[in-house]
Amino acid sequence: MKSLWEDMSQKVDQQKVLTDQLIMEMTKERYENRMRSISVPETISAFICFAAIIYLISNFNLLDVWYLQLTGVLTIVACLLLPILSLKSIKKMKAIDISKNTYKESLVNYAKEKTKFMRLQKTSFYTSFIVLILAVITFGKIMKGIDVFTMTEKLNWLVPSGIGVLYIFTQWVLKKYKKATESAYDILKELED
Amino acid sequence: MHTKEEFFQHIKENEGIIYKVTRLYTNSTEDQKDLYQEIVYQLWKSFDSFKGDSKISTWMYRIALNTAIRHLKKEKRKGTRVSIDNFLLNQIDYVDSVMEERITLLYAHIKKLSIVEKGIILLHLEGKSYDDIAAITGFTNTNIGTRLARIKQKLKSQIKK
Repeated sequence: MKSLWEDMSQKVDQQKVLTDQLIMEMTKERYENRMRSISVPETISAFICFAAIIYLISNFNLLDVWYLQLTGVLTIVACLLLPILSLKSIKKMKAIDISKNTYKESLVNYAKEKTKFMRLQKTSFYTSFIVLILAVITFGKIMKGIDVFTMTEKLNWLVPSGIGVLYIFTQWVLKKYKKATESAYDILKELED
Repeated sequence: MHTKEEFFQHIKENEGIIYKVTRLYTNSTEDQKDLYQEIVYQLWKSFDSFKGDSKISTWMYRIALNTAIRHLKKEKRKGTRVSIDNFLLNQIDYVDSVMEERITLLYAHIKKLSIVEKGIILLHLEGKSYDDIAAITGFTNTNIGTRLARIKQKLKSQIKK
């Protein structure tokens, strides 16, 4: 096995295919992609959230009942917090110094981050669902003058179907969460052996 | 402060490391190309922090393996990687077919190992000493010995099947 690996290594080493220009292009391209992929979606979503906040604040007087005012306030808070949290997590991710960690430390981080990421996904799934409901109620009133709470007929089918959709997705999210947590646990356990 | 030329030189001298790591930690050529480019980028990013306390190859293995682990987390890759497509395909074509078949089989067996084991066996096959493996992986020398014995046993029984 080792001799085969050595033969392969020799062949690979003989094939000097990298050039200065290629290395430069690779790093430049990756650097630019990195900048683009982080800034564009984040900027767009932050812009949408802040535009929504301005729109909600300037039309807040249309929310004439206390519960609509409450949903309005909660929507504003969510629109303010979500982009901040997202930018914060990106900043944290960018701060990781890949050259400092050993393989073992990276694996521990990987296992922990995997669990953390799934937990975050689970939380953001529930949060998005709540924000969606809040937004529908608030924007429904501001844009169309509809008070969802008084539409009992529509609520009769909207609420059960909403719960149904939530249930299906919850099962899916939990299944993914369990799988990711188990595999992360396996890695951590193996590292302890 | 290192110069750009020094970086190019080190990368070119050790490009085989990147190729072998990327092949081991990916399952498709497309993904391999992506990891290859990511490793080169991470090496470039970390090059200034390389103080020369260890061998350049040890530093490269560490970055390459750590990048490979981080790469596992990402499901979909973003952005283009046009510039490296052709050269990587050439690198694979250069190896003769019989040997390539045997190497593919060897990689397939190693890929069946756990992620912890994969890194250790790779460094062992690369001829790294226990001290070097310990420096890169963070395991103790004794632990590496125990793990290697277990991995070899596992590979033997895999090959026999």
